[in-house]
Amino acid sequence: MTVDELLRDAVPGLGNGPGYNYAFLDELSKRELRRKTLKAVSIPGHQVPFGSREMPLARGWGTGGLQLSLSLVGPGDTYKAIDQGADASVNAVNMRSLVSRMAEVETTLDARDATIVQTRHRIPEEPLRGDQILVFQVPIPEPLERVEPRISRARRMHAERDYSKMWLFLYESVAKHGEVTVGARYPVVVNGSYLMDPSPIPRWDVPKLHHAPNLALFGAGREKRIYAVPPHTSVEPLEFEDYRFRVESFPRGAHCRRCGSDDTFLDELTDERSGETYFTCSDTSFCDRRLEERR
Amino acid sequence: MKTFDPVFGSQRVFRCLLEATASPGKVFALPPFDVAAPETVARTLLDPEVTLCVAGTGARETEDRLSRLTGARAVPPPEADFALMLDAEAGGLASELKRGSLEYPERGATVIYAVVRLAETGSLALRLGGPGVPESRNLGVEGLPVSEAEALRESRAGYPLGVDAYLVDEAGMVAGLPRSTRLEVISSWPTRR
Repeated sequence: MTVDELLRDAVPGLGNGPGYNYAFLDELSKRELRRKTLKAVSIPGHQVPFGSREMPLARGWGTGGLQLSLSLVGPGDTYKAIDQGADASVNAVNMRSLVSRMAEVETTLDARDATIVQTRHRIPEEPLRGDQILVFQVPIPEPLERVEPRISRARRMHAERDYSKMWLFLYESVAKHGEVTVGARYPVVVNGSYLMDPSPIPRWDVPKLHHAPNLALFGAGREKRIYAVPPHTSVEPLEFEDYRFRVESFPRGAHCRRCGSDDTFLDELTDERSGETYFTCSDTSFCDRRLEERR
Repeated sequence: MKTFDPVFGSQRVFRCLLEATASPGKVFALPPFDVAAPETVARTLLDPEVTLCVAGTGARETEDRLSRLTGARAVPPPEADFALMLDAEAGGLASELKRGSLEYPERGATVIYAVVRLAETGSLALRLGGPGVPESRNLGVEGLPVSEAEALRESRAGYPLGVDAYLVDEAGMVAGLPRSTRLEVISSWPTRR
């Protein structure tokens, strides 16, 4: 089959195909994504521009992660989508239904059963394995965006590995507030080389990227970039010798109101009736399993 | 044997290449099709947006066929996005290919080497390190000249500039040598003829 025939089959009314291509994207779009993905894995932490396609959801709602997932997925895959740790949020539910309908794959809520985990702003509590791929939805791929709004200047700074402005930003934060006040999107250095935005995951999740057994792919649809962290690759948060990187801490005794966990990343909530503050696990399917195990 | 299918065939080949890139030097089995394994790799990645050059015995025919099937334009090595080296006869390719620029290192070329055999040992033994390689990993190759391995190593001395390579053997096994991989030739014997 040639490329021409391929296109004919994907156009409604022309070929015998269903009128849409397998996994929604046409083969040429997938091919471009795949080539760029391989380059991204070959140069860990470097942002590779790609021709982000029009998707059936608005840019900024996870189109980068979705396009990566659709270029990866095939029969035999099991797909999981989470939004801030939750499988049941509108964004995650719609991603799951789109991918399962367009690529005819199984979906799961259990991170252990998934071959592809697409995520917005969290890494599952369950440690991932080498045969799993973690796909991040990235709003702002450029870690230097905080200090350098011009893309061309930022690209130059990456080319020269000139990250002094970012160090200065962290220093100013320490000088003003006595500590580094960056919460989500904590800047990291990949493979001792490129500065990378790990997407708005909490600091809690940042150490999970360091020498992880799994491949991590990052897709920014609106900003049209792909980047990657291969397995067994160093991912180090920027820190000063006397002001170390720290993960979030929770108040003493804080635990999940549902499953009782005190070793997971917790969401702080307020009981509307009593006005009292309580916590629940951010990773809902992990929480469900703990609850199950306790019964 | 199964006909190479551009939708599902290339999806499976791509996932295999992705694993090979993420775990450099580890040998993976490409899904078998009625086309030579190095060509399934080319047909998975090429399309009219990229350029191609083929070197080695029967290069012209292969180049014409791949251009026709994928729409990739045939160009001389220094302009090619993808290069396919059909046999060890065509040496020195890696030193001619694009390495990208510091702002756009991803514009460096990808080269696919058709080799005889990949295993833990071989007439050419490479020791690898870097991202995707816990500690270090050894890869044995039959059918890749030492000079070519050296040229590949030299191509990435200015990392992140460099050429990314895939080795594909006659049994359809593939190993990735992305430019982030440190290469060391630890032993070599003259290639069998």
